[in-house]
Amino acid sequence: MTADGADPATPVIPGERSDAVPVAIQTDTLLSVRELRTGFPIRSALLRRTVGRIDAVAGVSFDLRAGETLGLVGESGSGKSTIARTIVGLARASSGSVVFDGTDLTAAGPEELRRRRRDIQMIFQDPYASLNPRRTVRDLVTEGWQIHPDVVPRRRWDAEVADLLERVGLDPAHADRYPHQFSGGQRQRIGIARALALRPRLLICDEPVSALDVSIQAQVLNLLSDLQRDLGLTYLFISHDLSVVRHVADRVAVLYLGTIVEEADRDDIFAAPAHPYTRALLSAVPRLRPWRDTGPAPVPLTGDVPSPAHPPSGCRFRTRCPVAEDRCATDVPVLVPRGGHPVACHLAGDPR
Amino acid sequence: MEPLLSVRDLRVRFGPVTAVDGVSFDVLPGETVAVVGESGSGKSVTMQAVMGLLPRGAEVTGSIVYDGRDLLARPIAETRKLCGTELAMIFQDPLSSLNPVFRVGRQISESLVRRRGASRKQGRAHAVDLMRRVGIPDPERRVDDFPHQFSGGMRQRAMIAMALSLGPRLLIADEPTTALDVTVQAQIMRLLADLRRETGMGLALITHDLGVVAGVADRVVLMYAGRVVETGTTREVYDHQAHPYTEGLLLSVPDDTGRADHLVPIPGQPPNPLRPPGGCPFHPRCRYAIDVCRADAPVLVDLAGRPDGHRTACHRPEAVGA
Repeated sequence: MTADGADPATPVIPGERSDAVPVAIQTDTLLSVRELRTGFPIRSALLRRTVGRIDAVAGVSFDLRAGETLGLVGESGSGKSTIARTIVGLARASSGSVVFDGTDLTAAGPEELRRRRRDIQMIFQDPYASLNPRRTVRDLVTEGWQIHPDVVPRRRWDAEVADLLERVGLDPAHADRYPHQFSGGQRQRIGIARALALRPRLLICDEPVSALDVSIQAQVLNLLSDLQRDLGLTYLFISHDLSVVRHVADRVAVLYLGTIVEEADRDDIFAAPAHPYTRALLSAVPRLRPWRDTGPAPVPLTGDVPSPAHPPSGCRFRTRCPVAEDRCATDVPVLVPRGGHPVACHLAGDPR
Repeated sequence: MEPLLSVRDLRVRFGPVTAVDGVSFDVLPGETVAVVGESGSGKSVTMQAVMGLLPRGAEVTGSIVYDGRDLLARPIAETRKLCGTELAMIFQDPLSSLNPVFRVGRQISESLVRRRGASRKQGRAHAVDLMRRVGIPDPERRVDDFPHQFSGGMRQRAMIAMALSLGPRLLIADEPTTALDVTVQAQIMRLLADLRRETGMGLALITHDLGVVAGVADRVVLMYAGRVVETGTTREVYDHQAHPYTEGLLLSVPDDTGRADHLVPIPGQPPNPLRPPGGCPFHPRCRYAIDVCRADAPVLVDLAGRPDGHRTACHRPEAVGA
């Protein structure tokens, strides 16, 4: 994100001055999400009638440039996984658009979608739950090629499987083993090999190292960064762990209760967090040697994240915000550059 | 000061697997000791042994002395009697530790009613009081809620209230914040630190998170493959680590100094407990390993020239960080 405000991620604000220069989508934008909403019905226990709706993602816009890593950070209920699931088609958007390389995935026909899905692959959090235990590594890796036969001709399968396994740091001789014969870190490598099999351009990593031991986490994070460099991949990296995101991301978007509250280059967001929630989140990260550095002053949050079924009026964070004012209960803050980068907070300086 | 808990040469075997292999450590009154390790390091089994919670068939040797009494030398019923009164434990996943069909307040007051013969009414008042102390808002109303009506952080608070019910002298917390969001984790760790200060109880914290440890623990016990590899005051161990595994763990953590090009992971995988390597259990992953490491298992000894009971089980502590 540049500081001049002419950034494609800046959402169009209804009712803003009409002389604002329309922002052209930059040519290297691979994924462009606009005003995305993804909701789920609340059904009554008795008759399964729809009695309400939860907007897990409540109007989110961001851009992902080819070759970069955008970190989506948030706690439980922030909607970060639902965004990922909407992009890959595991959840349906209620409104808004998800434009991948010029195609709006929310409006595309089935054949177009089938072709596009190849380009977007996902790595899941739990390598134990996301691999079919009755399939060998070879079966798991080649599954995508059965659905998309034009990617790799069948006679090349063995060679390609061996290549992929080697690339993710597994022994190709183990291709006929089953997932339970591998450790957690190795299973995550299988998940990565599987995602890479279709030669995707965008890899969505949903908490890829959260279930792994610390010493193994570092191995997998290094692998992901090597793969990005070698294959020119673009990453949407979803995590609740700010120290991991700080390590991998070029840009960071912070989510709270289904909306982005702040978005900035990695260094900016860690050096000068502007939203009270970002500050609280950063100050809550346990530091490895608290006696050595001063670190951010603690911003203790009270209470829990409100239910997305009944989000607070105005600013969604105001019920837990240490600096909330009256207008926070009435006016919804929009995500526009205030000070240096986009922040959705009335108190973070005047919008430009 | 007499230790509140003193574990000596504890060994736990499940059939062919030695899960805990000669572990010794102390917890002093009012002290927070963190037992740190990754999956399979034996940290949870060690604490289950203290609480008498090991499954039947576990072979336990060594001694676990609580307040002068060796728990392993006495009938298990005696340990059980201590549990909940003098010793209390909280677990990682509060939802699976709470009974979904009973109201939260009733579960918090259960030990007071059953062990101290309090009436239901007294129990309820006690529960409200405890819930207020652990920071559950509006306790008079929430005392009648069921666990599913609580958020993750509130459930963990309810677990803590339950553990505190009879005023334990030692609280064992097994990964108490692993399932929680980071802002809630900060709340819970602050609460545990406050309660420890107020009550003077000892706190044994089992965790894999080195950052959490740094913020709260007076002393740290690092475990690998069922053994203690390094121990000492937290600051001493973090600043002058003397075991390659400790060094590796500290380097693996993406820390707050920002983006390095590469993290320095520990190569390889933790050992298979059915086929532990000979010699030092860490040697296959150790960058400093020499012949003696493959042949002889190092014992935990005081580090020459270092203060505060800093001990390490390594043949080449001088090589670490050098």
